[in-house]
Amino acid sequence: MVADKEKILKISGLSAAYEDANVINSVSLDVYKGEVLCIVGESGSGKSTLIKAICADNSVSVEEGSITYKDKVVTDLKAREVQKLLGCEIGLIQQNPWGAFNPIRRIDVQFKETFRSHGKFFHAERIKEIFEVLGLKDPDKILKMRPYELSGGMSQRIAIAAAFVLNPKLLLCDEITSALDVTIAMQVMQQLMELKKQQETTIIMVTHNLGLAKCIADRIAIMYEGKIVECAEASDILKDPQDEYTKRLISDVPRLRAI
Amino acid sequence: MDIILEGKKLNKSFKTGEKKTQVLCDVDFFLKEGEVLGIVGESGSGKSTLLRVASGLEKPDSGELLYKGRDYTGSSPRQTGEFLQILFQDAESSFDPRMTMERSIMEAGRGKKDKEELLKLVKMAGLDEELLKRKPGKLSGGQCQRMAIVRAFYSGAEILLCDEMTSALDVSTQAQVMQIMQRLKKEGKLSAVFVSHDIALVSEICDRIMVMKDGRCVEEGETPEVIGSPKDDHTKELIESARKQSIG
Repeated sequence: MVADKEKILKISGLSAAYEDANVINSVSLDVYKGEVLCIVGESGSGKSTLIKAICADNSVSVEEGSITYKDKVVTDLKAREVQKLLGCEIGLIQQNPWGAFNPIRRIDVQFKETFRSHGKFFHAERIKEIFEVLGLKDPDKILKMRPYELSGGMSQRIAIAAAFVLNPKLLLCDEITSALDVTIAMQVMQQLMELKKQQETTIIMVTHNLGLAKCIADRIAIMYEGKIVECAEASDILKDPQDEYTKRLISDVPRLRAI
Repeated sequence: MDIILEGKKLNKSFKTGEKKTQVLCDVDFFLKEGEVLGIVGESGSGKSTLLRVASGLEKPDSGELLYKGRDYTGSSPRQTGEFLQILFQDAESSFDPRMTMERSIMEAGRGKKDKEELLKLVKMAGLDEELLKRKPGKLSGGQCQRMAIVRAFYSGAEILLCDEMTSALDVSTQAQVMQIMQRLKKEGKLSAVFVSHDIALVSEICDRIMVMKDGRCVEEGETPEVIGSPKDDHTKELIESARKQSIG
């Protein structure tokens, strides 16, 4: 289905390490325009490191291989050029929404800063449109609040809004709902998918939750010990896993049952 | 089955400055011998506070707590430790970081020094006895949680109160810990209250489920009844979210 689609990101033979430990081993992965690709695996499998490598985070050093975004080889770019890509082209949302904001500064001030630092004009209407899709009622009031006054679910929605106002083409999400309740997490995911549809964003979603991946993914990549052991259409992986680790992972997920 | 643990009309509030937050409102619960009772609800619904009150870590503002019909309201954790043990999400921090596992667990036995029983329990938990010589920092999250189960049983407690005990673990590690719980349950050795936000996990091990919202119990019943035909809207919402994420 995705074979004839345009590639937006190409990772080839990537090995990456932190100071003392090799975390990613020869990972190759193509991401197609407009798809939702979920990367699923347990703690320490290298999922978040892969996301960091795509953002050219300087805590991760690329030992081998390359990452290409559209026609730019990210792994060869200078820090200044990478900075230009981040935000407007490649957006990032992380697990802890509070980490993305200054807790004691008004939200509208921080949104203004987001626009300014990426060379764009503050666009209040745009923010309000996004807030509406995210179910954030009374945007004027929320914009005057400070992040410490918000609940976890609300903060994560604001972080999603902050990523979307710049209209990135590729959005990287790292465990964005794992700190939220199941019901809130589902709401946030549905709202995120609505925004994705409107803006035709490509999403790479890192999660340890296979059930969540089932709900949103076009394709799923399973990561284990720094390698991608299997990558296929979501329904194929869940119905007919090929790799032994994937099989185990699927059988270990608790099932809703009435004993 | 006899009722082993019971709470009647439990109330608990916390004060922050001028503001008073009612965390438990007239909550009733009971646990039968050999039964696993699940408590589900979203963050802030009062699940953990209920366990802390039942274990004596917090005193209720009003209400009554009974162990085998005997009133133990107001007892200290040291006193309640004779018949119940609490298992937390972060098992590592429930062990003294300076002590080896063996010493920590032996200490919970209140003077009992039965190495044979300890080794039997460690084996039952699927752990290598070599791990007993290590300190908690040198164990993985799953190993620590299994050691906490060993400690709870070694102490001779009849009741386990489990507060999100697998929430910090990966699904595969969670599955290992749950296997031990299932085995203990089959052997009839487990009377437990199992608090979790994961209703699918709860449905796998619990005989009965209690749903909490805003400090109240909104629904309570046998697992098939609650999962199959939920009555309360909040329960329906929780089950619907879990169904959407269910991978068949």
